[in-house]
Amino acid sequence: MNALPHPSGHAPVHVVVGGGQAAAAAVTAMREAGFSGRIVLVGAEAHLPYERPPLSKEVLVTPQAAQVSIHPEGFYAEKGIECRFGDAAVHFDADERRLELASGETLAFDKLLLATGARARAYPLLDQLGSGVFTLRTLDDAEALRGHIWPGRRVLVVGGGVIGLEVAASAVIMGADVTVIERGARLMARGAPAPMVETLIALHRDKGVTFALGADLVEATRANTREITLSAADGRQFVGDLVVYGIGVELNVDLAISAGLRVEDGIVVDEYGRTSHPDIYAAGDVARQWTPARGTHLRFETWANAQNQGTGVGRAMVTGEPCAFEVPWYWTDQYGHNFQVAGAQEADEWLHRGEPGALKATVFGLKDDVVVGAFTVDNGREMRPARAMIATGHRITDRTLIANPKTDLRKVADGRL
Amino acid sequence: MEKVHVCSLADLPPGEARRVDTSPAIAVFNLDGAFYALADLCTHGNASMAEGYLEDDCTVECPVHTARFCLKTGKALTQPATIDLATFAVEVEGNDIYVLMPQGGA
Ligand SMILES: Cc1cc2nc3c(=O)[nH]c(=O)nc-3n(C[C@H](O)[C@H](O)[C@H](O)COP(=O)(O)OP(=O)(O)OC[C@H]3O[C@@H](n4cnc5c(N)ncnc54)[C@H](O)[C@@H]3O)c2cc1C
Ligand code: FES
Repeated sequence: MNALPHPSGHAPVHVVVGGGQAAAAAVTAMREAGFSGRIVLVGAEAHLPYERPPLSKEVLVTPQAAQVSIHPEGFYAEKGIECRFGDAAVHFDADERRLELASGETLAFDKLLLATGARARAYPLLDQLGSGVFTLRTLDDAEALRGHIWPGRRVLVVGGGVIGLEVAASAVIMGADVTVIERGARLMARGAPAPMVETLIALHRDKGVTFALGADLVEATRANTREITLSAADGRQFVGDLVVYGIGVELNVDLAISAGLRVEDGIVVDEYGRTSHPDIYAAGDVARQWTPARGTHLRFETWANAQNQGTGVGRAMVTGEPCAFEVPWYWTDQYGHNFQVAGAQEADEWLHRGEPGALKATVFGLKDDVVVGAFTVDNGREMRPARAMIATGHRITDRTLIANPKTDLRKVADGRL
Repeated sequence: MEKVHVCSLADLPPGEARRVDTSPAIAVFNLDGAFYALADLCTHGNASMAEGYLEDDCTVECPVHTARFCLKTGKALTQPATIDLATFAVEVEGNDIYVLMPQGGA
């Protein structure tokens, strides 16, 4: 289906709004699928598309060694992808197929992909403190934060989700004293298996991090000394030099809503990534995709989803083939340890595989003896067979065989054992 | 070229990998009896490719963020890596495996 002659005679035009992981993956996939029309990539940030995972890790701790660009600079020109970085899409008309940019440029398109991602959810109680309060979503955010953390600084991390914990780990490595303040009763409530959270808490405590759970903040003040005090409803007070908060995201769906697309906690798309308008597509954090393998719409805020769905939807826009189903999967890196999580985060039983006492492990989540989820700690090579076992709904008959770290999981996954 | 001993043939069965602590470290792979050697440190971050997942299609997947590299050419095939890994020649002599390191490191 390469370069179909367009009814109106011009080469087809794909416009991609976003400039993040999903957008970069999509434009790459369009060219790989043979699309030879015009591709225009519009990104609000004045940077080449970059990876966000390093922002809470290497960009803070080892900035000289941090590599964030998804593709080298020459890639876009080489692939004939026109870039508009530092310019935002402000309006589009789905039926007229025209997109307006903040700079005043108007782009006519045949197909439009929205990969607008999300922004950090604002916390007005903390924002009113003015300086000394940070969030972490963009490269500029990470660079602004980096200069404020040094040995002995008291860092109050508000929000015990994955980004909060990653920032806590990085701040500890940079020598800071860290307190993590979470409103809920448990950490990473939105998405990690309970035994993995326990491992993470033990790791953080061992490094000196203090946790305050169930702390509902009601007041934030700053003394003349610039010291910040956060007060919880139950009277607990936390004193620090700076605050970093990560309390979830706000999806960038304004464009989609004003164009009349169906939006329900994300832009609703089918298995091709098509929105409620057949020429408008969406992918990445912002998209809630129909997933036949699960019989429901699913939305994820992970690197792998942005990469795979961006690729799948970019290809679908060219070939008309549906996106392939992938077992949901993500990683988090803390204190140099790599944690990977796949599939369901809730299970009846967690089957541990690894030397007792060692951090390195693979743990399976079982429901009625069937593998529904898994996580690894510094054992990523076992994630591949573990994901395959989740995908096929592998039934565990011999627990000792699986629990023995010497058993080759590849053989279990493909039925040789 | 400096010839560095890796291990005996028996110590590197098919489907397995070994790390050699040269400078830089090298990962040696046995894919169904064929031997390949790549720089051990993933070009995307702090991961040992010897700990990676060996695929039948002559690639290895990084254990940390799953970038795939070609065993023959070292080419970075998938995100998040974009920089290729260095490759090294492997020699089998009798029952032993060696890698060839260019003088002065790679
Ligand atoms: C600090 C941090 C650490 C993370 N760590 C991990 C991790 O370890 N593992 C993991 O799996 N995931 C991690 N993630 C999540 C992962 O990075 C995201 O899921 C992924 O970046 C989503 O990609 P995306 O392209 O959908 O959206 P985004 O990356 O949000 O990109 C969207 C882009 O669109 C731009 N945009 C929005 N509106 C417009 C407009 N109107 N016009 C033009 N441009 C617009 C935005 O400025 C932004 O640059 C992390 C995220 C953060 C913030
Ligand atoms: S460290 Fe290998 S892919 Fe990131």
